[in-house]
Amino acid sequence: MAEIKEAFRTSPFGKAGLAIVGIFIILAIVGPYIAPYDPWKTADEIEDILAPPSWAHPLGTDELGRDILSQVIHGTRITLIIGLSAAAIAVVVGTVVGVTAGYFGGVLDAMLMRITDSFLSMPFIVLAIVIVSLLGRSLGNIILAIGLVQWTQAARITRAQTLSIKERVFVLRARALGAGPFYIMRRHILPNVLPLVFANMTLVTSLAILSEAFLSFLGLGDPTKFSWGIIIRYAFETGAVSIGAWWYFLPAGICIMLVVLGFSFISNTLDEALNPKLRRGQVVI
Amino acid sequence: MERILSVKDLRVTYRTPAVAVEAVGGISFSLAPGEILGLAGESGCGKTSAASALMRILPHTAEIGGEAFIGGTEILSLPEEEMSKIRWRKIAMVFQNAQAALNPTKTIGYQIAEPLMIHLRYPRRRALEEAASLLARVRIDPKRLTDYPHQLSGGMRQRAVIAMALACRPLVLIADEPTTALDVMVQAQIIELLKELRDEYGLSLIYISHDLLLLAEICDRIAVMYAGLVVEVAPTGGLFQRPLHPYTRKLLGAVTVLGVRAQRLETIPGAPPRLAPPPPGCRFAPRCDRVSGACREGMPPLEPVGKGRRVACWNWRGEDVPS
Amino acid sequence: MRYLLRRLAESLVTVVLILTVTFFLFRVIPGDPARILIRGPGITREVIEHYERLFGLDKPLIVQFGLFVRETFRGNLGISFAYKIPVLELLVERMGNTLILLVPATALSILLGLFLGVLAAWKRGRPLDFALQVFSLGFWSIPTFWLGMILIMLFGRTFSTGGMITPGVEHGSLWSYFADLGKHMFLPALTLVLIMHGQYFMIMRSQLAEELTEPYTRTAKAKGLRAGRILRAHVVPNAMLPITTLIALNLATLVAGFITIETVFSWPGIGKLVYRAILMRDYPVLQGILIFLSLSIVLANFLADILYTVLDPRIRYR
Repeated sequence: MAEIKEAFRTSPFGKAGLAIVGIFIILAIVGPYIAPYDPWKTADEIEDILAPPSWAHPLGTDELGRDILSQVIHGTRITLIIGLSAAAIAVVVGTVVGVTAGYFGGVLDAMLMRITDSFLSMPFIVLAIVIVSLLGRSLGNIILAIGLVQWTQAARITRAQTLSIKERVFVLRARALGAGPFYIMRRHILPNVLPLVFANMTLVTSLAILSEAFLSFLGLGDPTKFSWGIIIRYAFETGAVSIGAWWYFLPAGICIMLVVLGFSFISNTLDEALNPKLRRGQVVI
Repeated sequence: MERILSVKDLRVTYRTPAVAVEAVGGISFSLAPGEILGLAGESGCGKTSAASALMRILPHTAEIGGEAFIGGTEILSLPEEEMSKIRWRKIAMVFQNAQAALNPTKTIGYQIAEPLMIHLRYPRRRALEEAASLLARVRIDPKRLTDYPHQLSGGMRQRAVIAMALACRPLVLIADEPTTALDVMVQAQIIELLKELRDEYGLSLIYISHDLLLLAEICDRIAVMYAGLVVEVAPTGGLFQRPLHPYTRKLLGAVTVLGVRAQRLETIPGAPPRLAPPPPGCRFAPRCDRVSGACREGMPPLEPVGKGRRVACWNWRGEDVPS
Repeated sequence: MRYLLRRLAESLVTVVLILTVTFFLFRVIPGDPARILIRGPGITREVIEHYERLFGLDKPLIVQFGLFVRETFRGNLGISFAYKIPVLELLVERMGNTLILLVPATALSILLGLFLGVLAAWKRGRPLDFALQVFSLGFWSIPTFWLGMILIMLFGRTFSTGGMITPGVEHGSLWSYFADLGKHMFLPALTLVLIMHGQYFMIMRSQLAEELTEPYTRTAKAKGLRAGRILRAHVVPNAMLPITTLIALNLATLVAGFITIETVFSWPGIGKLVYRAILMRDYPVLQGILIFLSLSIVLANFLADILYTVLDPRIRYR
């Protein structure tokens, strides 16, 4: 814990990441109350269709005259919900698989690792595409699909950590005293893998937000919601690129970039704090 | 007398954003041609930092102060480009852990030949031939030129590292605990080899170890370091017959009373002080049996106290106060 | 050798597992499970019956799975609803186009990422490292298609942006054909390089940062080698050993990028095919692409492991 605090205190990236993510989380919470318009409200006047930024519409309007700024603000909540929930599913699945494989070893370990390998080899975006197009384009299915394809990293990390912890003296002693496997996992293994799991979750969140954008762009987003990916998809479908309606897709993309960057900064800072080799090692050349 | 190396007020400070840790607090010594100087002290006393500072191979967080002359050139202030020409040609080093010091994916031959190709512009073949004869000199079959480090035994690896250090015929060789990881037999062979090489090549050697008995076997003079400072310098015989500094006495006591080599210096009660920031007064005072008022006030200077001897203690003449 | 045999066995198990996941994914899902894969609109009665027999659709699921594995290894991936031709034919035809774009773009990304990664690791914690991290991670954080859209808006008039070559133009010489191809390829390739290099940058930076803390780098410096030579002759080659494996391991992550970039630039490759298949609910094509790409990645990983074994003397002489 002390190392993590120290890492965020000394790293400008860590601070920037926390600040960016913090701002967007606040926006996700208060967004619907501060958005200037209802994002679904279409315009009555023809000059409000695909209008460039103005005082009335700071980020312009779309082909139905809907306010882009309001869409982006509403999209913050949806995008973060998808990113964080999918990441949560991914790390829970990954941790269960990894700790089980690492702790029990043997045939079970070999089997679980082969399954992990096969998921690692399947291009996760195609897998997610298949899951969503078979299950249907709802928010829940999208979260599930992304969560179910992003758990492999967490599994590998927690397995490696479990393997090293289970040989430590305190675990061996607990086992000699007759502690059961689930007691040991809960009391000794989990507390030691959680920091790594948490670091991994920040990275998976950024991957999940990108994945959502990819799915939405390919037409697999939830059509009843505004996520940043969906806004860009609508812009692409409308031909915003060829008519030069930059205000339509620029803001949502910038938001994606900032949030993804923020989460990866946090993840990198955690990694540096948790990787003893990088922390202690000295470079002389 | 002619000096091959003279070091004046060498300081090494490690700086992080939070703290500055002084690892070497201003040490001076010199080395005569063909001399073997021992550098003794517990781990963390700054021996290795001092040696690495002379090679200028410390990380960027380290700040080096003072002066060091090799054959008339001051090397601590040389530009990096000039310094890289001094390294290995004038001053070379044998590292503590030969396994780690060698690149695991390059052959022994390549690693010995590399400095010859760089510094002396030998063509590859000639460099490898020279590497073969160097290997033969340290009693390794030259056929092993094409072996990788992991294919050699521990003792052979250490001898290969010595051959590597000799490639460019340096004036000064620093050996940093070269035998720590090896068993006693192999240790003795390496020491014998280093003595032969000193005579043959006219090397001057700085031999770093925490093991005073080992140093006694090879060194002409010994400098004892404590907490970043040299506290006593004396010819080996004199040091063992009549150690002057209380710390040296304790080191020797730890060795001779118990009489076993395995007994490490860590058996002295108390631990070396943490170096940031240095405590006021004599750095050894908290662990010393002869503390007096003066000891609490200032660090004693390293003063000449007899033929070729120096000691940094206010009470070196005094007796131990029974505790 | 024993290591390679073990890896081979592991890879085969992985292949079987991938086929299992794919098979059950497409059949255990709600709806009309077994038959959606061959009953596309507008496919003739005879073709449907032929495929029903081939895949044993009236037999139990386990028999169907056996037939599915057999047919897959024969290269029979079913028939596309939308194009009415065997999926494999379609894939082979489109894969060429994808590779034309993806191979140079990936090669450049790897080179750029590794080069910048070396610089950053060498200057770790100093201003250059900071700047490079912001640059590479910044691009890594951008959705590929969005950067593509921006580049089209900015440079769409200078470079061609639809398809691989200008339609309707007869190319008199090979040279003019390649010039046209290059003009179409520039923007999508640039987008991919800008975004994909970040991943290689991060791999190289962290791998090299660890390698640089190894004591042998200090030896190299003590020997009087200059920093450039230490990196070139010692550190980078050693770091490259695990990196070959890591690059192969991360191949799967490239897919999202090229699928969407082909969509944005109308590049007639696998990615465009995926996009069309989603729109048309062309399940056999989706299934075929999933299998095809997964097996390619397993193969690439296996080859990378062989390479690693050959290159690293520590393993070679065991």
